[in-house]
Amino acid sequence: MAILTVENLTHTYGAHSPFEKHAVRGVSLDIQEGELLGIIGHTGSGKSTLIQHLNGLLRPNEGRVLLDGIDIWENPKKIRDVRFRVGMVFQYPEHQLFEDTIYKDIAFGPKNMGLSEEEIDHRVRQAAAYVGLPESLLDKSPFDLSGGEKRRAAIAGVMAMEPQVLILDEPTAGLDPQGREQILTMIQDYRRTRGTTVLLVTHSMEDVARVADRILVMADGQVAMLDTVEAVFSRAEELERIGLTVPAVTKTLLLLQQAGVAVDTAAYTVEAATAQLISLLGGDGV
Amino acid sequence: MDMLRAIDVHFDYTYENEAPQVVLQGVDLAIEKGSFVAVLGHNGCGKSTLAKHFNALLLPTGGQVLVADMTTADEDNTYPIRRRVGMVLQNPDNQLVSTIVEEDVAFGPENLGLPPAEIRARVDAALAAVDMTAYKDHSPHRLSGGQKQRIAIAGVLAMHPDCLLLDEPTAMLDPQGRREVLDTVCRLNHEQGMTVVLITHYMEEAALADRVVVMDEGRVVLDGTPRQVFAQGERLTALGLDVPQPTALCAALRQRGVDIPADLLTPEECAAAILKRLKN
Amino acid sequence: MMKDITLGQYFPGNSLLHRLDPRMKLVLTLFFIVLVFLPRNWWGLLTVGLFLLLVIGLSRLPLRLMWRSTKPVLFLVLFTSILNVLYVHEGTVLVHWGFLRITTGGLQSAAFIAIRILCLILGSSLLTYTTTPTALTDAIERLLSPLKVIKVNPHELAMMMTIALRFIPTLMEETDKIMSAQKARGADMESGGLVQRVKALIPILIPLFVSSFRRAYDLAMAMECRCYQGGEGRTRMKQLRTALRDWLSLTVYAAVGVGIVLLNIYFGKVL
Repeated sequence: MAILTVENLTHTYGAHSPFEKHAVRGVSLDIQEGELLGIIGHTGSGKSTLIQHLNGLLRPNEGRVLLDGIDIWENPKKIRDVRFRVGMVFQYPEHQLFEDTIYKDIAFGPKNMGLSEEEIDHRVRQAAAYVGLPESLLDKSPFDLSGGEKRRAAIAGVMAMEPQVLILDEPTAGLDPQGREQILTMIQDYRRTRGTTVLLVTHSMEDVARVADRILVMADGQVAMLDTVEAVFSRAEELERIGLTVPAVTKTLLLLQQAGVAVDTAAYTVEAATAQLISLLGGDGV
Repeated sequence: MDMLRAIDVHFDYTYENEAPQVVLQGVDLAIEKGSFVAVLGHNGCGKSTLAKHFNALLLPTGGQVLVADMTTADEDNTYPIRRRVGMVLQNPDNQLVSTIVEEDVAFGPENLGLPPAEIRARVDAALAAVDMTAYKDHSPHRLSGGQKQRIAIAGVLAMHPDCLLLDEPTAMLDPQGRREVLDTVCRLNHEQGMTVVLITHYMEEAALADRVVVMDEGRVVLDGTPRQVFAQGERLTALGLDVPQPTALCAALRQRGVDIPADLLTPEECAAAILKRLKN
Repeated sequence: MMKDITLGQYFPGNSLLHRLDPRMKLVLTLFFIVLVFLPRNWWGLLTVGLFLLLVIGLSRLPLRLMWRSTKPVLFLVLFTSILNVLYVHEGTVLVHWGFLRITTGGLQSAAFIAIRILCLILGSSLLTYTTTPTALTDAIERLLSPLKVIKVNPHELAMMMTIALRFIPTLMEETDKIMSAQKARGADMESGGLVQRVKALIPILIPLFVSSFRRAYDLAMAMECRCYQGGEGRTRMKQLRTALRDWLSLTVYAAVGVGIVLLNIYFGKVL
């Protein structure tokens, strides 16, 4: 079942001015309950504008966004409730930490929801556990944490609102390989435990390939592709035409295919590609 | 000739009432003039601290750092060293000073007290070298991240340095911006013989270098050509680093008994090797 | 959208006005302000107005820019005009209705004031439209350089202005981003009383403050890397040189000034 539906969404910045720019044009799509959707596209492809419509930070010029079948702007006064249900983690979220302790910062969202003290406490501790922050860090100031820990604390701040949909905008940007790995694993674990619908915006094809069920490719303010990971990567040439790279493994398979070798280019992990190639090359003593 | 040299460099600092933090513990490294060296290592391994030593922004608490045979310990060398070693930082927004691109590029040479005509010539040449001449009258805040980083590089080039020191210059950029910056850096290295030290978290970027240096806990732990270094997949994983996917694919195939080289870096090389195997 | 704002209103061009030395432009703008307050009769004001139109023509700026800079002050113009109509009681009475008394003198003085304010706004916006903020900063630095004698450092002042100009748009964008991020966590900035609203700013101001410090630290490091050691021994790429056109312009302004004074004497004080 679709949890979020976008109908014919158009958003124009600076309408009727010389700087008029259509950021998103006539986008329609369904996001299924419980899925992990990877969103990929260039800077300026409209992906940031699109996701800011999903929790009502931006209001569409045309079209609608439905959450559980109801237009999120049906009652503009209730838009805050939509933001609690569709949680959004911005790029470099650690830059928005402002309380003197991590605990209080994670509690900011739940507090705004008007929850009871006990509920807030429960949620803060649970969210900290989801992102792998030890309890001992909760009373520390954000300044005493490492970059990766700060990022995880900021993500916990959104998780603590227990949203039905969690949107993460480039959660691994600027981290080292280990940090990237931790965040991706954490997102997968969180989703497995809670069954939350997750939207992951990223520039990294390798990252989406690893964790996503489906991929939305945005180009020029429109939906270029919306399909399973296999299906999207099997259109590698089209992806390259819009200036997106496929994972290096897929690229290798694609080169082999172009050289006349019968391989399935939809394989996008080292494991899957190895399995395919072994049968061709006859390893394992075959 | 060695452009940069670290001889048994130690660096530690102490905050009041806290245990001393040891960042570098005996780094020995010589970087040859004209080479392109990538420095890898997880966050906190000391690579940025080392970079700051090569620019006399930090002075070693033990050992010695030499830039073109000048020791950073001598205060008189500070500005000659900074002129020879240009530094580009991670955040493209925070290192541009002026509201107009060409005036920002002029900032360094102006500080050197050069005559106006000379500055003009250097600025024009530097903007051309990073392919940003068309943007010389623009305001930096309207440019893309990749363009801003190229302006930062031009600002350094205008000082006519011998060496470019780039501290994670692509960490905050999108793939397009990363490509722009890397193309620029590679071109400067190949065409002008500029010594390049590139600190990065991206293995594909390190693969472009002539030499890869891996740091861990304030020491150099691996040093060699990209092929030599990336062939040691398990070691790298243990150090919290990745291996380029094609290299990982080859390693996996080798493990399953396929006779394929371990030191392939790009999809092209990897595909070619597999094709060769298939034909045999 | 905050990120659409442009700081300074420089409009690129290559007109005579664009090419004048920014120092001279600054001086001329100050001179023009004096000119606006000089006339004592309609002939003088007409001269100022015509002169301004001539200068606008020479600037070759699109007229919509002129409209853009007058729009925000129209209310002020209207307000002062009405005050003048209501409170200046001189000359023939045109309307007398209860306490309301409109006189020819009142109407005249209202029109006079309105034209004056418009001239002031247009005259000074010409400076910002034809001069980049950097050139303006430069001009201020150099015009103030005599202050070195009294230990005021104009270079530092100018450097601060440049950096502020450079970073204001960046910080605006940042504010936008932080605001969105806190709104996404349910921060409510649109309702509540004064105290609540001020409190609601904390989650925005603190991160902004922290990030400004981080940026300042980075910038200082970048400046050090680029051998910045203060104004001492520094040269500039762009030299400011006054040309013949600068001195000619000054002469023209002076002539207009003398003309207005003569008109004042010849026609006497009307207002």
